[in-house]
Amino acid sequence: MTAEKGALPGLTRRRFLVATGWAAAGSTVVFSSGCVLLPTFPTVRDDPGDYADSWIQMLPDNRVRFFMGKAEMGQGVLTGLSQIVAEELNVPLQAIAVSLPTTTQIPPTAMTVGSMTIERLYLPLREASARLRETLRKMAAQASGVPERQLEEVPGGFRHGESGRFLAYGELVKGKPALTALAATPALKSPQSLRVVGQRATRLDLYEKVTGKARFSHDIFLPGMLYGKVARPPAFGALLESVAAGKARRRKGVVAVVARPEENFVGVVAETEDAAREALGSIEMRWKIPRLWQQADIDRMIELEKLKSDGVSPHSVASRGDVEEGEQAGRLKLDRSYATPFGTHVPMETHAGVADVTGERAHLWVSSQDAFYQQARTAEITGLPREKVHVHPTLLGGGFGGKVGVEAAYEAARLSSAVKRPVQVVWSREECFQHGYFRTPTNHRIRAGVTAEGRISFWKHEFASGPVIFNPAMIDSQALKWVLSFIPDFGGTRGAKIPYDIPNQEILHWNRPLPVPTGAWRGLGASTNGFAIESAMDELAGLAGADPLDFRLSHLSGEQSRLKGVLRAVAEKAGWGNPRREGIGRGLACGAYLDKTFVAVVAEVSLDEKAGRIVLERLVCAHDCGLVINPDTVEAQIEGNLVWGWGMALKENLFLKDGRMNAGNFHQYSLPRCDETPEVEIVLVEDKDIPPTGVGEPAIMPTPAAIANAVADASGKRLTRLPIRPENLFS
Amino acid sequence: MEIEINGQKVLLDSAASGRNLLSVLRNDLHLTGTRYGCGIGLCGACTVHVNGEAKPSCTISLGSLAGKKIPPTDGLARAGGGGGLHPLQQAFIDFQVPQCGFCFSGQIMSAAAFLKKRPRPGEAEIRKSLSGNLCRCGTYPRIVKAVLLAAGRKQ
Repeated sequence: MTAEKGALPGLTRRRFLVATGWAAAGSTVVFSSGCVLLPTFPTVRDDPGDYADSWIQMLPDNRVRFFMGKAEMGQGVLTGLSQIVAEELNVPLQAIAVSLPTTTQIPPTAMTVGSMTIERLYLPLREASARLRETLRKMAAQASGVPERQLEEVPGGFRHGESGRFLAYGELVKGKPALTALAATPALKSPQSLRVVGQRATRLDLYEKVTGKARFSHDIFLPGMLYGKVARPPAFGALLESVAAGKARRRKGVVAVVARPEENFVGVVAETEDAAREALGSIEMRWKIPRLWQQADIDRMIELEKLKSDGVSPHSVASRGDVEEGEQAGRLKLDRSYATPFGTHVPMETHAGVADVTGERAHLWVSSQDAFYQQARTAEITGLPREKVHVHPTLLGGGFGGKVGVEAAYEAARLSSAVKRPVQVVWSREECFQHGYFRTPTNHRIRAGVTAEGRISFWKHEFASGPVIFNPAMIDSQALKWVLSFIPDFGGTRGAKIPYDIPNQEILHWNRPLPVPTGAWRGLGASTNGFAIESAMDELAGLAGADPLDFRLSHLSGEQSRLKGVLRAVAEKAGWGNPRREGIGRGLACGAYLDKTFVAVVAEVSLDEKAGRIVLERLVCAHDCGLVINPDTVEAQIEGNLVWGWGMALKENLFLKDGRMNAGNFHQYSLPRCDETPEVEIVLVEDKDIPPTGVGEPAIMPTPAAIANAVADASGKRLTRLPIRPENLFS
Repeated sequence: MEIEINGQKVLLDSAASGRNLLSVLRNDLHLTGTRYGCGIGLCGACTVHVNGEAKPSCTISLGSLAGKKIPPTDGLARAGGGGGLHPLQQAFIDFQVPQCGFCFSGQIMSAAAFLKKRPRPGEAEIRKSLSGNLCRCGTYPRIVKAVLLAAGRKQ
């Protein structure tokens, strides 16, 4: 460690600088965080300004080692963040040697959620890259005896203007990776002179992905690895009463049966996956089911009128003016209820993990949205100190909010801990459909009025849901649950505030515990709130006799210029001003995701009553996320969100039946497929002077409502419950 | 019993004849390019070619494969000649199709078998032929474009 320190004169800054580069060079410095008094919680602490330096090192071969500490789940941050690093270092994207670091190689970083990676890391990574470049300039000056200011920045190094001598980064580094040694951040390039940022660069992981070489959690095979399978309760809330595992232990290939009824846990470890599955099936288990929950029970728990009559108090999301006064001013009134069902993430890669636990240390391979949370929980499960748990992140075969804590990896850790050999646990599709956590169902009631002049005079939105951020599946402390009951669930309320200029408004949310675990799902509350709000806006436009576009624009103040911008852009691209094509219904919706990314969508549908089909013909989206790092990736994320919005609007339906989810595999859960894919068109609205914001979720916000509005336009029927199914339309 | 998988002859004892091909490819041979997605042939992630036909390997028992040749996904690049990429793989890179990438071995295997039978397909045919391959990231619009491009290049 000290030897390398000598390579960098003046290395004084930032406490873990010392640690990181050197971790890569072979030492084992470890970061730990967290307070022992708090229960283990997903990693929210994030200070990229402090840790970004530790992710980047210059290598002797002119490449830049980049520890990309966020989860790559298809959203493209592996490439986007690499583009940002390449920018200030004046190297091509191909020079970035990017890898997914273990929890030992970098300091703890927050979970990868909420479309926040680019937004949070854009500036810290550019600054860190610029600091490294200036460190290298100092080294170049020392090596060449030329004053720093005479060294021009050129691709891959510096040039001495007078002599024309070129000093490549690599020759400065000489055998040891170089880290930044500067505290001060130099001036950054202007947004107009960016070279790598903004390029439609080819994603760095594509070759592996089209050749089947990409490694996901399913693809880790260690020498001597065994296979684990874990028993699942027959219903939500079921408790294990007794286990008779004697016979299973004697089966061929079975290494161990781990039975801990008090923890509701029975697992089998075997030489093969088949042997593990069959042995588990042969174990006699008695489960007590305190109550066989039905969907009607859940519906009652979030029924608005019942919550009010029971005196359950809501959290206020927004309150402005006087709703009663506004109600009197309204000439025409809307009073409408909207509802959305349970949803599930369905990543194509089912949840999985491989653990190798000995008495001294643990290694965990997992595709998680929060490697440090996996580390902390594994430490609890195995009784090892955190720094002895090494998490090796793999690519995620889809995350969508569902892989913040991957239970399968903890199961692997428990089983490996019992047999002291590596164990793989891969959940079956059935396990994925029935376990983990779900998108909460929601109920909404929106009351609003329009004056004779066509202005919305009041807006009252009441809605109820299960928990989203304060996910009981992740918070096992009763005390914390009690504390959290006083705090609004900012996951459930995401997207509930309206961008429209309405003088009198009240928005109330009831966050209710449910007997089924619910949590984050792409966009959080923005997807469901967006559906209710933008459906209501369409109906209000109808009441006012106004065009849905003009009606929205006229209710957006000057402060909402970016939302207006995407509305105008989508209208132009979609030909909103032109007459509809024969047999086509059109719908419009918009949203301001976290008030930072602005999206508007136009949907076109046709109805085939004879065949009983709602045909989604076309989706057009205009999107403004400030500076675009990689237009291709941004478009890809938008396309994904449009397809998700389509699934939510017309396909996906999950409900409780006799204590279980109705779906066990793909024949029971309808999803968008290739044959029905609509035409998709995207316009990126960009102001390079506005720093980048998220793209992974915003476009889901308006899409279901745009489709619902198009269906209403085509059929004359307003359907307010998702998914919109032909049988409800053509009845 | 002998099966040729990925150009290599694999000898199997009779006890294995009831096992499914996917499990053998992944767990025994560690040919991980073929993915597990549903186990009942409904998602396409585990698609392989059996005598030129695209089939979900999770529903094929080994016993039914005696004497047959199975080139898994990893074999597609080699089939492109000179170790280079198959035109489909190249087209999927050109359109930057994969997001998470998990379903793509299956997507490409299905598309490759389809293009062998229908070298100049229309867009609607492509959509229909790939409707058995789920992509949760929602890359369908790009999949269709990439297959059209690959079909054009092959002509």
